[in-house]
Amino acid sequence: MQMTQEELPGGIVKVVLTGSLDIPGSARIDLPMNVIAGARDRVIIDFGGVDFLASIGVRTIVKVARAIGNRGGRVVIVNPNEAARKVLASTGVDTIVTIVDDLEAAQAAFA
Amino acid sequence: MRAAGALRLGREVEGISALDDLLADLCARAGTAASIAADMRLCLNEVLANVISYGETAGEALRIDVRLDAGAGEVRAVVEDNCTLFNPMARPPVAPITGLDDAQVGGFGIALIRATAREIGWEALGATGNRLSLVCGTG
Repeated sequence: MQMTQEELPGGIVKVVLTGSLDIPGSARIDLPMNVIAGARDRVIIDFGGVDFLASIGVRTIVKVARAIGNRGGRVVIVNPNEAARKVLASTGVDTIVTIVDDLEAAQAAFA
Repeated sequence: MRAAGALRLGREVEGISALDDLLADLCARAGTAASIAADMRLCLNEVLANVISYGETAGEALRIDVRLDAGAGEVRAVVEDNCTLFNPMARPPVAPITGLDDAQVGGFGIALIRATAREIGWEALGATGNRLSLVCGTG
């Protein structure tokens, strides 16, 4: 699992994840994601490169979404594959994050 | 065509990657639909994460034996361990998150298995062992 960050206009940070959000993958991003969750209120997570999402990855996303959401911020997930979309829906994560197909829609979600 | 294989794992999480590789290889050889292979990968990941994280073995090293049998329309898996008895299907289901107020961070593994597998079976192997059978796909 690899993670990179990019600053976007409007105080938005885009986090790009690449790889599997399984046990080892989630362990690699937990700390940097917690740092973002503690400091930023507008976060886009690009899931286009995530090939696998397990419950341990759901845990990471929920922690981030809860911390940011409780401060009035928002997390938007962009372009998850079909399997990840299914996991996000069946766990109810899609009720606390916004899921969209592309970056334009993600940025519009903060308007 | 069907393709079968087996793997023994211990407490190391690297074993999960080895099992992912075996599953991918068998599914490629059997011509299993990608969505079915992905469903089984998810189920196995959740099962193994639970056993590796919480399985208690009364002093023995943890032993997990996984057998896989892939076909075009389904994948079957049998996971046996030497842990104290635990029937994951007897656990009450975790409710999905409905908002920030009830956004629990854990407990979704078994819920995902229930939502993904077509068949789930559990039986005790004596006093200290579990056999979990999973089927993903349409048959």
